[in-house]
Order: sequence, then C-alpha cells, then structure tokens
Amino acid sequence: MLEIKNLTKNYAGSAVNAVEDLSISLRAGEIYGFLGSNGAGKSTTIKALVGIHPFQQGDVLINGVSIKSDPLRAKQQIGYVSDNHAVFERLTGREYVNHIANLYGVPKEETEAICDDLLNIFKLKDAFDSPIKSYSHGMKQKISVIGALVHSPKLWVLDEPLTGLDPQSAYQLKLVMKRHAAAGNTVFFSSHILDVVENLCDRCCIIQKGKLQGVFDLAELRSEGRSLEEIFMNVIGETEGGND
Amino acid sequence: MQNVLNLLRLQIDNHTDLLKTASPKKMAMSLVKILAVIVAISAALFYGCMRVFMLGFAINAELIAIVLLAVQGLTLVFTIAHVISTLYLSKDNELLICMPVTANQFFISKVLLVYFKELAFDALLCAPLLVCLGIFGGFGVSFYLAVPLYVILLPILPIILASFISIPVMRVLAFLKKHAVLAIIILLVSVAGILFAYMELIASIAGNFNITEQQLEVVKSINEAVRGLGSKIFVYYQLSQAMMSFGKWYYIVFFILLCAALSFATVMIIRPFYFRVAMPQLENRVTKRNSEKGKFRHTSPFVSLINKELLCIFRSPSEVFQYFLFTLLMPFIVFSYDRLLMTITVNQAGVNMIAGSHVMIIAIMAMLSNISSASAISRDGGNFHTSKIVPVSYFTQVFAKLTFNAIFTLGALLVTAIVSAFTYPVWQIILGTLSVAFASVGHIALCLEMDIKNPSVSIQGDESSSTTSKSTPKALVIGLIIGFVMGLTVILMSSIKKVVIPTALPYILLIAVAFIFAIWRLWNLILRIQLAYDKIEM
Repeated sequence: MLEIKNLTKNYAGSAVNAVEDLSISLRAGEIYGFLGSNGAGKSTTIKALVGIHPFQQGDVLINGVSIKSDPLRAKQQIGYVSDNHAVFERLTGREYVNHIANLYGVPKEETEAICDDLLNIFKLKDAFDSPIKSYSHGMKQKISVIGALVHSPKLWVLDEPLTGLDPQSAYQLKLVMKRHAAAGNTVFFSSHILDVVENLCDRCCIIQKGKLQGVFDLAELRSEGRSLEEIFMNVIGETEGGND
Repeated sequence: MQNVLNLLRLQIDNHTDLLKTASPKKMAMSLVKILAVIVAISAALFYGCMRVFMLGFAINAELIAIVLLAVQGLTLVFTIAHVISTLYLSKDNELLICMPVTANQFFISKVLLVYFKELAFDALLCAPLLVCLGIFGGFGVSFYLAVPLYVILLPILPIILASFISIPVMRVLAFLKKHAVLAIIILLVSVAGILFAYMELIASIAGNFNITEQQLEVVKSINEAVRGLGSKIFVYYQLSQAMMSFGKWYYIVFFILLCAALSFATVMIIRPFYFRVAMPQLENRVTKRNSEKGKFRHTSPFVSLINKELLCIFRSPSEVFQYFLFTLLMPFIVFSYDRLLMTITVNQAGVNMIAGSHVMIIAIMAMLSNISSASAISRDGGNFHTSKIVPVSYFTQVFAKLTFNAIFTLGALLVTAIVSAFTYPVWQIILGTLSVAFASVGHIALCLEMDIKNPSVSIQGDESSSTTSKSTPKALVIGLIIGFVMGLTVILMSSIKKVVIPTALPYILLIAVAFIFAIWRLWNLILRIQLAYDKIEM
C-alpha cells in the first residue's frame, strides 16, 4: 500500500540529512506506528510522503503510484491530518469538509454519508454548522480528521494525532483508525505515546537522526514478552538520544 | 507596584525590542531611528507651517488652543483603538491574568501601557507641531518649557474619555462579530457616506477655485473665526495662555489636579466593567451560525477554491476593508477627480494632461487593489499544507486566486468606466479601461508570482495569520510605477501633433503594451508555479 524507498531529505543550508535512506513498506489493512524522539525526522518523512516536502533521493509509492512522478493520482489516495490541526477557521465545519470533498471530487451523497457516520462517532453534529474558530482544540482535530477521511483514502497519514486530546476523543479517534484499517485501508501515524502504539498498531518502526533503527511486529513482541518501551529506550540509548 | 512594573515591562517587551537586553549599540541605533522620525516629522511640519502662515494667518493663544484641542481629538481616536486592542482584545490577557498579580495590578498595567502608547504619539506629533508654532509665533521660554510638560499631560484626558467610550464600542463590536453581514453593510454604508461628504467638499472647493483673488478677505475672516472659537475652548484656552506666560502656569497646576481627580474616578468606575467586558473575549464558545441544518454543495475544485476565498475574506469586516478598500474607492475617487478637473478651464495641453492623469489615477487605484494578491498564498498561513496535499494542480489553485482578485478589480474598472462615461468620450473610456484591465491582470500575476516565490506561511496554524507578505511593499511600488507610466504615456503621446498621431493611437499602443505585459506575466507565472510551490516547505 505504502512503499517508501530509500527516501533522503535534506533541508536547504543543512549539512545533515533530515531523513537518510529510509525504506519501509506498509501493507493494506494494517495500522503502522512511526516512532522516534523529537527531531528524529518523523514529521519530515510524513510531510515528504504526503507531498508537502520535496525530497532529493528515493521515491514514495502509494498503491504503486509515485508521489514524485504522478503526484495528483497519488494524493487522491492519501488522507492527511497535520500536527498543527490547521483548518480554515472562518469556515463552518460543514463548509470546510464540503470544500475538501470538492477538491477530492467526492459526490455529494457520499460526502453526506461519510460525514453523518463520523459526526455521530465524534459527537460533533451540533457544532458542524458553527464557525471552526469557535471550536476547541479537540473539535478542530476531529474536523480535520473528517476532512482527511471524506474521500475514503486508501492511506491515512496522521502526524501526532493524539496530542492534546481528552480520553474520550482519543478513544473515538483510535476507534476510527481501527475501523479504517479493518476496511482494508492503511493507517500510518507518528506518536510519542508508546502505549498507544503498542496497543493499536500491527507493526511499528523507530527512526533516530533520520535513519531507520528497526521495524517491529507488535504481536511478535507480545508473544516474546518484550515491551516496546524497552526496545525504544535501547534504540535511543544506542544512538545517544535525539535532539529537540 | 513592582508587580505593575513587571507586567508593564512584559507587555512593552512584547511590543518593541527597545527595552530588551540588547546591546547598547542596538539600543542607540533604535533611538537614532526614532530621532530621525521626529526630525523628519518636524521638518515636514515646519515646511507646512511656513507655507500656511506666510499667507497671513495669526499665531496666538486662541489658535494654540484650537491646535491643542485638534491634537486631543486625533489622540482620542487612536486612544479608543488602543484601549480596545490593549485592554480588551489583547492576546496576552489570557497569559497575564494567570500570573500571581491582583486584578488591580493587571488593570493598572494595561492602562499604563495605553498611556505610554499615547505618550509616544504625542511626542512624535504634538511636540514637533507645538515647537513649529512656537518658532513661527515668536513665543518665549515659557512656551517651550510647557511643551514637554504637555506631552506628558495631554494623553490623560483622551485615555479617560476613551475608557468610557470603549465599553459601549466593545458591546457593539461583540454584536457585529456575531453578525458579519450586518458589519460589512455598516462598513460599506459608512465608507459611502464619507465618500459622499468628500465628493460634496470637492465640488464646493471646485466651485470656489478663485480663492487667490479673495486671499486677504479669506485670511482675515479665518483669523476672526479662530479668535472667536479659541477663546471659548475651556481648559485648552487656559493651557494655551499658560504657555504664553509663566504668570499663568497656575492653569497647568489646575489641569494636573483635574487630571488626577478624573483619573482616580475613572479607575474606580471603569475597573469593575473592565473585567466584565474583557473576560468573555477569552472564552471559547461554540456559536451556531444557522439554526437549521446546512447542506453540502458539490462543485468543481476551481469554483470551490474561489468560494473558499470569498467566504474567508468576507467573514472578516476588517479584511473586506483592507482587501477591497481601493476597489470600493476607485469609482468614487475617479468621479470626484474628474469633477474637480473639469471645473478648470485649460488649453489643449491641459486636456491631454487631464486625459492622461485620468488613466493614471484609474491605473494606480487598480494596481493598489491588486496588491492583496501579493499575500494570496501567505494569507493561507498554516493552512497552506492543504494546497500541497490535495489532488488539485497548483495551476488550478493559483488561477483560482488570480480569478478571485481579477473579478473584483475588473468589476471596479467596469463601474468606474460607466461613471467616467459621463465626463469623457466613450471610445476614450473603453480603450483606457481595456488597457488598465490588461495591465491589472499582468500585475495580479506578478503579485502572485512574487508571493509564491517568497511566501510567509506560518506554521502556527491560524488562518490568515498574515494579511501582508514580504512581497507586499514590492508589489505596491511596482503597481505605482505601472500606473504612473501608463498615465505618462497618454500625456506624452497625446501631446504630439494630431496630424501625425491620430487621437486614439496612444490608447491603442497602451492596450498593445498592456496586453503583452499581461501575457508575459501570466506565462512566467505558469512556468514557475510548479517549481516555486515545490520549494515552499513548512
């Protein structure tokens, strides 16, 4: 579903690669966690794969379509929730989702059906016709999620999605992530919360200083009686920790 | 007291780098810059005073009283804005109120900040103006010694008045915030009203253009009116008299006592209201726009992008004003300009000059209304990432922004053409408007290209975090140059003998050049969109 091949990203003026020769492959129907300390290169990788950042080497294939050579077709299959939850705040929730649906060419009936379903889960129906600027942090995050899922993307990418969410909202979001994966789609998200990754994901990878440190099957770890925290601390210790 | 000073220092540091622990060299440089601004303002005022007072106007205590009142009136307008922005709408309220300070300390620190803002305003405008009047009036030492004292004292009364006025103003703003359409209508009606008054004034000036023949009588009657009015302005006339002689400085003492009493009373009265008005601004409330459920509308990405721009801008009265000020003003200003010029009897060269300046003024207004395109990308702020993740080509996205701006500029040009058709020959209006329209499209494309190449997209997330961009000043200068060159072309080419150059030829040439300019800039934009967008990282 998602194949990152030898991705190398360097910011202008920097002598060090933010991401270096990163290769991972995600299967359809799985939830994949992306771990790393602050400044490890998680957001850079995510921004490169959704088309925000250009990259110098390698390629990203979504369902076999290259984000580099056929960006529009590749983007059509991605839903992205950013870490800053930026949404057009002067629009109402409905206007925002409607605009995003139009940009992805989603028919009206389909938009209505998806919104009805997600609004029920997120309990956002009453606020849907209110301006987003009046929303709380969690509500903005939820409307951003609805916008990302309105075109039923094959690959759903979330950057630190659980930061700042209350337990109920976090539960709702995790529920939607599980449902999306169960429908045969792929969910790829970055997080600092190891417990969430451990309980939610099928697999995860750890990157440090832009380099892949390892890919782990969570079911295997559980059967071996190893904790993700232990592995994460070992990896970070070996590479002398990350920098903020 | 220490807490008040700490709070004040925090807020000042948030507004200016002047007091921050910068090197003495940097601080000295900042002071030199401020001094340079004061010198420049003083020089301009000195020149203005020289031109006015050489006509024979008398500088006396009555005139000084009127000047003091006028400055106070002007200060009051700014003070109301400062009181609202500093006391009620300031984003640091949420942070400062959490600090271990009392409500009184918090309130007093805010009032002091407003006072320092007004003090700076008075030091920059009032002091140089009074010094200039002192020089031309030939006043003594008491006048100049009173100036710094007045700079310190004069902001107090406007702050007291503004504190009272700002409470109902805040209520009105809170109401309008919930009714954006009403706010825009009120704004447009107000602008139209001011313009109507302006046009009437222009018409009356145009009707009395032989003012020079009656100069002596006009000056004499103005001097008498000043003497009559100035002596009736209680407080300010006394302050003005105190400036003339040390013997009347007891008026200044009275003024200080008056200010102290009023300040104390104001703090006592306003403080309870302050927290009642300011605190709701910090609350986060979900407000329902429509009582009934809205509907989804399926449109093409291009139409959806234009609709989004329209909704985002038209839901902010201040942005409507900022982005469409020149578009709204264009027909009015051109109309009043034409009306003014048509009252002057001129020869053929004058006619050519009027035709050229007509094109110039329309072109300048059109270019000024285009400069919002120089921040079209930056305005998206943290939302810019949407442009990069959606499966819509950058070309479509940029052309939606171009179309949005062009609709308003070209619409204003059309209205202006209809208005101008009452004054100029129709062929001249059509050709002139066409040339400005082409130049406008080229200028919009150039503005967009500049912003795409050097945007100020914020990571913070708030939409429209930047209403101007790094390219705005450059776009403004280029727009003014285009307007100036277009007008000059018509003036110069029309001056060549008609036997050689038919009358319409300057306009046809202008259309051709403007058309080539538009195609050139559009082509450049198309060529650079992909590469420039790819380079934008956030």
